[in-house]
Amino acid sequence: MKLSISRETLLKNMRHMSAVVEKRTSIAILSNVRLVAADNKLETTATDNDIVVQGSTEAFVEQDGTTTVNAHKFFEIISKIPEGVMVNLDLTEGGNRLAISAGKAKFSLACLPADAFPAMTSVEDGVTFKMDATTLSRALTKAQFAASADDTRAYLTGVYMHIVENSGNDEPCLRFVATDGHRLAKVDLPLPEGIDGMPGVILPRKCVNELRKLTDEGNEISLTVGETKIQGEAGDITLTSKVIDGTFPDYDRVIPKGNNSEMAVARRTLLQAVDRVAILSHEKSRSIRFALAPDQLTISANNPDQENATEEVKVEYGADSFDIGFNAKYVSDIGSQIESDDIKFFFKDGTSPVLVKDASDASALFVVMPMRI
Amino acid sequence: MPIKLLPDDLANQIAAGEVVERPASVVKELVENALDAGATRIQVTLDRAGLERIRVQDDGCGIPKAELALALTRHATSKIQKTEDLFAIHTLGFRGEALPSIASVSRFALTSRAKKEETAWQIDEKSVVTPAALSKGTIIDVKNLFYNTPARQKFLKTDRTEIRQVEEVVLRQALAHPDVAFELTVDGAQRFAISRSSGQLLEDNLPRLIEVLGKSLAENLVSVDFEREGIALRGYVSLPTFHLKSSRRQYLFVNGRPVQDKLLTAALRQAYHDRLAKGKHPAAVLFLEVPVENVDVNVHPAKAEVRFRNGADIFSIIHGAVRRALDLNSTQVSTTGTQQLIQKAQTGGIARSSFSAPRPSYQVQDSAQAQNIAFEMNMPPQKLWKGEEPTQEVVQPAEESYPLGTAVAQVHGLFVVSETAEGMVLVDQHAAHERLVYEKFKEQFRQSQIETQPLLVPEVVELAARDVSLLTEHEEQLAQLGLEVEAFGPTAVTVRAVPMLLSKANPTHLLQDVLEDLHELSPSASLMERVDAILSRMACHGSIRANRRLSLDEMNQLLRDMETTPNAAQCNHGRPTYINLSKADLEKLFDR
Repeated sequence: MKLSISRETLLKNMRHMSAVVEKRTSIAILSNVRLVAADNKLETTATDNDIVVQGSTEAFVEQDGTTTVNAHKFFEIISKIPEGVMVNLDLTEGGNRLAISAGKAKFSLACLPADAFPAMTSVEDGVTFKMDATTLSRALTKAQFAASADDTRAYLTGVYMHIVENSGNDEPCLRFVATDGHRLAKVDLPLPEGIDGMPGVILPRKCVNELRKLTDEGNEISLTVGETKIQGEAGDITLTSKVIDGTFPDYDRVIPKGNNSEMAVARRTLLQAVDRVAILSHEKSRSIRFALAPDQLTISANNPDQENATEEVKVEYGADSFDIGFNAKYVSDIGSQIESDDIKFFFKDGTSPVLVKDASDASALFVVMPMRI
Repeated sequence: MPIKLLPDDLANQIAAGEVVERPASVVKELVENALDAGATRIQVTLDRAGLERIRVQDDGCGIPKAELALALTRHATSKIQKTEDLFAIHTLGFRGEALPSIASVSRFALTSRAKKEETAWQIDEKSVVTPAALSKGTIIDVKNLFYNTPARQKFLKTDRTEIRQVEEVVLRQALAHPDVAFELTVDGAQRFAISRSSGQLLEDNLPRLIEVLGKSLAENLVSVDFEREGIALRGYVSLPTFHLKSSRRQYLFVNGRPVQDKLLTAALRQAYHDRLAKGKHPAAVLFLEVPVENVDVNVHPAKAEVRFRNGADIFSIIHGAVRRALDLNSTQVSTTGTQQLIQKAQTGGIARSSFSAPRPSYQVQDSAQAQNIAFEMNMPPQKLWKGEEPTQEVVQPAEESYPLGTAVAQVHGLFVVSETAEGMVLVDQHAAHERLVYEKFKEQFRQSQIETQPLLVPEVVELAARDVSLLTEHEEQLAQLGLEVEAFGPTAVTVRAVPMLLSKANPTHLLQDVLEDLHELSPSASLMERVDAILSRMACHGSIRANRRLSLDEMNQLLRDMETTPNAAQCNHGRPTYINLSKADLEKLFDR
């Protein structure tokens, strides 16, 4: 294998590769990226056994060949080569070393034979459709923050992507839901063309992250979704990931229906106030108190050292006065997913789940469970 | 086959199956008989781990000739007479089974001279009575144990194990009966001879403890002394910084009877929970006195277990009394560290080699053995002097009264050196500060209201039916602590809310962990242990790290806080936070 390639093209490609490869793995070959040179193209593949990412870039190939090298070292070398320099790759010592030269810098990386590299997988019986890359990215981002970090309940760590048929108030839509059992985020998108029959899947955390990265590659992304795998294609990059094997909780039940006490508040004002007051909340529980009164919200917190903070925020509110407790982090997490200037809260009482919406975007909806304080 | 009454010898052998399991059980039964007979000196002799011969001699009241034959008859005893006696047992034995059981599985000879008899008499396993010579008391000679029950022989462990078991049995009784002398001879060599000490428990029992448990353990005990509603708990438990790898050294005596009870292990575990690392066990010698009618000893053939009328009360008494004893001594550290240090220095190690060098120097300390005391030797002399600058000396006399003394220097950014009235103290700054912060957090948590995070998606947990009923039984108490569960059919519960501090955990796992403990502990204890673990982690992050330079003022403040904070002698992981070196210890180090 002998080729030269533009540093920028290779770097862009390697960003996807190194993100998939795990830093620590017991299987040596999984630390490596596979390089295949042929037909004036360099094909790269990386995997962690759950996600496979493949890329293809233009290159001047003098001699075809295949090998694997450590993905993180290779990525770091490429990233530190100055912009605009051509990178030369040359497989030497009978395939044991990959010589990299760029300008006056020379590197020699150890190789592992490519035949030990895991075989590629593809999505079987999948439904393929195209959608706008930015729309997908925003939907994934807005849902994912509510997912759990607790790996012992895998089904809560992902984003549930599924089709909602015409049911009750809901228009048919492509829905993204995530919950960690304390809060929930739900984003609805209009159904893309050709999506009919797509099975509902729970996308793992890493898959969501990589899909979001993939949406940077082009304006449009093509998705193929099967029962056990999902594939995304944009630009020269293809991502294939397993989905989480599990049943997503019946989330519809926990979305409150009769929350009639509506409170509208300026987003920035509220988030800044919460941020300030939370300084004096318990450092672990982050509990803050909302005291609601007509057109006035008083946020307060105290900590075990008997220190306290209070701030009044002007709101639009006309229902009963009552107190409700929140984990400050949950409030700010939701607030930072809302893009317009106003947030709407829908309360029932001091202990029932609270509905939160973006005042000018009906597609996203958040639910947060209050805290008993 | 038709139903027939079993012949006596077969019935005895069946009983022996329960009572006489191994040589140690023979010794236990015989020693208990001797104690019941009012002996003041008991000699136990073993040959070949007791299989060839077990001989127990006492100077007790003896058995009159007329009763000798009866003694070998099953269900014959002098210790109880009527049913009521069974519920108020004051003696160690009462079942009337031991002697006939032992006699049925061995070549047996009992020689005894009762107080008023003119001569001694001997009876063998065939109940043949012959005159014998003995001045006082009883000798029981058990030869060829299990000769007729080969199956039993096969289940015996190695000789060493069996001997250790016997030793343990005798030591247990020795702990409970300081007024009796005990001797154990194995294959002609004396294992131990514990002389008789007069007086009653506690203070007078301490010399006995030292004899039985060894000096290092006995030096690191704190005394427990508690009495409530006719129930008394006295004895000793080890300092948290003195711990063992097993729970072997936990002795509980109920009305003078050694028992092995899970209750004790559980109560101790809970009392030590945030003072000992996982997998470490405290030592304890506890004497529980309860009204005889509140305890049923007739539960286990070998009486290794007892049943309390109100186990939960006993649990809370042991737990409470031990906890209080530890709290009272919570700033005391075990001598282990000091001992090890001195031993290291004396057994060859570096200290010596450096002094035997042509010119005593402080530079030989790189050897591996030196590591442990290196911090002490490695201190550049200038630094020592620096701490003792005249200004310091002026301050010192006024502050001499502090138990942990006045800080003189910090070494390696890790340890604080302090000078006390009697010597010096070395403090591990991180460990010490971590405990201070942890105790503060705990205090704050106990005083504040419990915060609860109700679940948006209640978690359904499948459980065994008896676990579900156990949980519902404690539903209210758990809810008060923030864990809200509700039965969901006979084999599942829904978790509706979790304590805020534990809200990151998987509710299923939390519930299972709590359940595991609920069988042994109270609901509050099992949840608190978990909350404490979180607080302890917070404390670890919130405390002074190693390699932080401390000013003298900061160091002194640390020492003062340690003196007033409970449990300051050990960090949250059970390691000591400071080592005390008395002037005498220091002199020993320098061979003075």
